[in-house]
Amino acid sequence: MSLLRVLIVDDDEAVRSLLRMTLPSDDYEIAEARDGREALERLEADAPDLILLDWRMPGLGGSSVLDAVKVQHPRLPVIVLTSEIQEHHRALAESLGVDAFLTKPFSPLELLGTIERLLAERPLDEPS
Amino acid sequence: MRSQRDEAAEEALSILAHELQTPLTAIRGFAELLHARDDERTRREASARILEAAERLSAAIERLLETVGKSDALMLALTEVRPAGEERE
Repeated sequence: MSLLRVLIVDDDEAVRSLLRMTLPSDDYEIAEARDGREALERLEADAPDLILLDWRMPGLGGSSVLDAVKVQHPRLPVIVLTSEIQEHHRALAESLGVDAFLTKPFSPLELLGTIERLLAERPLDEPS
Repeated sequence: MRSQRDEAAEEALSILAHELQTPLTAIRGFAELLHARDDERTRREASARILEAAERLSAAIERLLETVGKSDALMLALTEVRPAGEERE
C-alpha cells in the first residue's frame, strides 16, 4: 500500500516537528514548507494528498495559500492550524473552502483523527 | 467600520497569541504523544522538545510582563483580571 503524502506548512520548527511526529511514518510521507511561497512550490513538486496549513506566516500567509490551493485543486483537503482567536479568520477560511479549522494548542491525536477522516472521505480520483 | 486603532490592537493581540500559543502547542502536543506512545524515539525527542518549548514560553511571558509593567494603562486593566474560578464582584 502506498504512503499518503502530507504537506506540512508552518514557519515554526517546533510545530513542524510535532506534526512530523504525529503522523506515523508507516502510513505517511511528509513534505515540509516554511512559508507560503515554498508551500505553493511543494504543492506542484510533491502532489500531496492533504495539507496542514499554518495561518499566520511571514510573507505569503495561510489565507493566500488556501485560496491558491483551492483554485487549483478544489478537492484537496486542507486543515488550517492557527493561534488566531478572532472569528473572522475562521469565517474567511470557510469562505475559501477549508476542510477543518483547528486552533492552537490542538490535540495531535484529535488532529490525526481529522486527517484520517478527511482522507477516507476524499474522492477516489484525488489528487487532482 | 473598524478604526485603524482597532486593527492595530487586533494585530498586537494576534502577535501575542502567536508568541504564547506556539510554544504551548509544542508542550501540549509532545506531552500528549509522550503519554500515548511508549517508544524510545518519542520519549527522547518529545521530552527534549517539551523542555525547549517551556523555556521559550517562559521567555515570552517574561517579555510580556516587562511590557505590561511599563504601561500604566495595562497595569490598570490588570485590576480587572481575577484568578481562574474566582467570582467577579
